Amino acid sequence: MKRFAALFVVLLLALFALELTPPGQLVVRPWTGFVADSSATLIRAFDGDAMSHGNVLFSKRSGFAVSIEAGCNGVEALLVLAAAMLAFPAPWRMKLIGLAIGAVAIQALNIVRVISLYYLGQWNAQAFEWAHLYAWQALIMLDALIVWLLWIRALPRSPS
Amino acid sequence: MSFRFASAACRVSAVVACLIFAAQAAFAATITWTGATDTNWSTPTNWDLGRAPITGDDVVWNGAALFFANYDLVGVTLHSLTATSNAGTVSGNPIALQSGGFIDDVLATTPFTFNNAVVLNGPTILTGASRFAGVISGTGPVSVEHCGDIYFTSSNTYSGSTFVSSNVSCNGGRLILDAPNPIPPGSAFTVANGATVFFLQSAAIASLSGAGAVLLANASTLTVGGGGASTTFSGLLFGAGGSLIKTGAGTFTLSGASTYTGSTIVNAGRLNVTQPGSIQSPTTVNAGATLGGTGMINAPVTVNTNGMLEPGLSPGILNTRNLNLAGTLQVEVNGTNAGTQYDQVNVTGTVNLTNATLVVTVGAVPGGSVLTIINNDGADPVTGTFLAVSTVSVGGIAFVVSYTGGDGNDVTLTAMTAPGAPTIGTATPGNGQATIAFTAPASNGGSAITGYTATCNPGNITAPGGALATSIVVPGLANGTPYTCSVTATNAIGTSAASGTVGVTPLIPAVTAFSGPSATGTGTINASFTGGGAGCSFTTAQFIPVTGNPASPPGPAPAVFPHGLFDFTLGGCTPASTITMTIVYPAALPAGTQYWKYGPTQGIPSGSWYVMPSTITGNTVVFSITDGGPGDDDLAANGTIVDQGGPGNPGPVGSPTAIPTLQEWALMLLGLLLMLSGLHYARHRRLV
Repeated sequence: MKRFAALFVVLLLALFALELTPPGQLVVRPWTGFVADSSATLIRAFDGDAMSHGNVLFSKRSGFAVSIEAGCNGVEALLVLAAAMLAFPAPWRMKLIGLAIGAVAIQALNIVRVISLYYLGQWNAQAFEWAHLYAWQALIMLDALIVWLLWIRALPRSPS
Repeated sequence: MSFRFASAACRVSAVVACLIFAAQAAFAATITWTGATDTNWSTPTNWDLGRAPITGDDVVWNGAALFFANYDLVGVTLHSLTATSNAGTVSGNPIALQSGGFIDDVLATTPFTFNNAVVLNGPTILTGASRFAGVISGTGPVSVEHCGDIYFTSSNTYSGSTFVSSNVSCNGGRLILDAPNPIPPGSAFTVANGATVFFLQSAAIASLSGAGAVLLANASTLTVGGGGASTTFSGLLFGAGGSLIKTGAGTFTLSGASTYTGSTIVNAGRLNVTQPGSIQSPTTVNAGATLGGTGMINAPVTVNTNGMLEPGLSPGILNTRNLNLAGTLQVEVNGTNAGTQYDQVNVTGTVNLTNATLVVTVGAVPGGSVLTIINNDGADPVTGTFLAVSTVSVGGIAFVVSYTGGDGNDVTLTAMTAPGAPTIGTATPGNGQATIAFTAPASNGGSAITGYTATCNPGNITAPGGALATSIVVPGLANGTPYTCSVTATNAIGTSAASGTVGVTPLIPAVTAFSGPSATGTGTINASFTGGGAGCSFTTAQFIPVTGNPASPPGPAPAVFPHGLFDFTLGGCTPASTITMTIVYPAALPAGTQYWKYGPTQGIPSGSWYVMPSTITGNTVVFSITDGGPGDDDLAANGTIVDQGGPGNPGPVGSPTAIPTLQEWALMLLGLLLMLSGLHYARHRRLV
C-alpha cells in the first residue's frame, strides 16, 4: 500500500518534471498544436469560421480565440492517470492497455471540451467561464477516474 | 439708155486692161425687144438699140409684140431678162445669165415660157410667173420669188440651194414642180413662210426647210434628206395621198401641222415630229432609221427590226396611234417626270411589241422610281414583250420592266439603284474595337437593303452588319489609334456611297471596380478605386489565400488574414498618379487589423511584408498608392500599379483565453482521488 502511494507520488513528480524539460516539450508542444489543429479541423468540417494559428483556435468572424496552452492539452490529466497506473501493482500488459485507453478517453474528451468552449466563448462569456472552470474540469476528472476505476476492476486478483 | 463707164481710177500701168473692160462695159445696156424685123434675137433691127443683145445687157422683152421668139444668140451672157407681157415663148439656144442676174415676168399673170435651157453663172433670181421648160443648169444658188406661178418642168441640174419665197410685191403664186427631179438632188430646198410649192410628181430633194406650204399633189412622194443635212420644216406639208420618205443621215424635223395622207417612211437618219407639229400619215421606220420628236403622229406607227423609236428630242413625249414595235425603243431617263425628265410614247390605240429591244440611257433617277415609258390608253393590254423581258441594267441602275404597269396596261420601268448613303451616327470606342451607329438611308434604291458595312481607316478594317442593323461593332482596331469610320449600305443592285465619317479611338474601358468571393470563403469582397487618370483600369485582379496560390507570397505571414489577400494590377494610369483603393470586406475587421502588403520596396527589392498606411473602418479599408511609390510593386512610375495585400491581424481579438484542462487544484484533487481509490481498492482486494 505504502509502496503504491510512494511510487505514485514519485512518478507523478517525475512525469511532470519530464513534461517541463526540453525533451518533454519536444513532444508536448507539437501535441498541443495537434490538439488545436484537430479541433479547428473538426469545427471547419461543419463551420468554416474556425481557424487555428499555432496553438490558437479562433473565429474569423468574431475574433474570439482560445489558446491551447500547455495545461490545456489533456497531457497533465493523462500524466496523473499514467502515474497512478504505473505505480499500481499490475501486469505491464494491463498497464499498457490502461494507459492507451486512458489516453484516448482523456484526449477525446479534451477535444470535445475545446470545441464546446470555443462555441460557448462566442455565445456567452459567463457560460464559458462556468464550463471552463467547473464543468469541464469535473468532467475530465470524472473521465480519468472512471477509466482508473474500470481499469482497477479489470485487474486480476492477487494469488494471495 | 444708160451706160456703164470705166472707172476714172484706172491707172496708167493697167491701161490695156482698163481699155478692154471699158470697151465692153460701154456697150452693155438695157436693150428692148421691138420685133420689127423677125423673131430672131440676133437680128439687130429687132432691138431698140439697133443691135442684138450682148453680154451684160439687161434685156426687156415686150411680149405684146410677139408671142414667140427664137433665142439664137451664141456666146452671150445676159445680166437679166425682164418680160413685160403676160405671155410669150422663147426657144432656141440656152440662155446664159451672169452671176447676180435674174429673169422676171413683170406682169406675172400668165407664165412666160422658156423652152430653152437656162445656164446660171452664180446667184440667180427667178421671179414673176415664168415657166421653165428647159433644164436649168450651171451654178446657183437659185432664189425663186413667185408672184404668179413659176413652173419647173424639167429635171434641173444647177448646183447650189433653192430658196422659194413669195414676191413681196405681189405675194401670190406658187412654184410648181412638174418633173421627176425639178430640184436638183443636191440642192437644199427652202420654202419660206408665205411661199407655196406644188410637187406634181414624186421628187427627191437634198433637204427641206422653211415655213411655207408644200403640196404633194397627185399622191406624189417627196423624198427628203439625201443631202445628209439636218433641217426643220415648220410649214404645211399636205396633199391627199402624198407620201414622205426620209432618207440620208441627217435629221428632218417636221414641226408644222402636216396633213398629207400617204405614208411616211423613215429609211435613214432621223425624222422628228415635234410640238406643235403633227402628221396624219401612217409611219414606218425601217432598219437604221429613227423616229422621234414630241409631236403627234395621228396614225399607226410601225418600227421594223433595227429601226428605232426614240421619243423626244431630249426627254419628251411622242404621241402615236397604234404602235407596232419590232425595232428598238430607246428612252432617255434623267428623272421621274415624263416628258421633261424621261421619254415616253403616248399611244392611242394598241401596243404590239415583237421582239423589240429596249435601250435605256440614264442620267440620274432615284431608286424606286416608276417610269411609264409607253402610256397605253384604254384597257387593251400590251401585246408581246421586249427581248430583255424583265430587267434592263444600265449605268448601275436596274430597271424592272412591267407590261401591266401604270393604269394596268402601260409599259413601266421601275428603277432600282444602289441604296442611298446611310447617315453616320456616333462611334463608341471599345477595347480594340468601336461600335459605329448609323441611320438607314432614306432610299433603299428600290431594292431591299441586304446589309451594311462599316469601314474604319487606316487599315480599311471592315465589319458587316445585318439588314436591320443600326450599329456595327468593328473589331481588330488598335487601342489608342485614331480611326475614321464610315458605313455603306448594300442591296441587290450594289453598294451605296459611303456615309459621312466619324472619328473614334479605341481604348481599354476603365474597369475601376472588382468584386468576388474571398479566397478564404468568408464572403464577397468589393474593391474599387478612384484616381489614376481616365485610362486607369484593373488589368488583373484576384482574391488569393495567403498560401497555396501561385501568386501567394512566399514564407510565413506576419499576421492572420481572415479574408486572404487582394492581388491586382492597374494599367493605363497616368504615370506617377495616385489611386485611392476602397475595399469592402464581408465582415467587420477586428480592432488592430492592419493592411499588410507583400512585395518589393526600395529598401528590400526582393520583397517583404510591410504595413500599408490605410484607414480601416468597420469592414472597409481605404488606402492610397502612388504609381512608383510605396505599395507599387514595380517600383516605377510607369502608369502601372502592382499590388498585393490584405487586412491582417496578429491573431484573435485580444488575448486568447487559455483553457487548461485541469487547474492545479483539479490536478491535485485528481491525483488524490486516484491514490485514495487505488489504496482502497488495493486493500480491499488484498493487494500489496
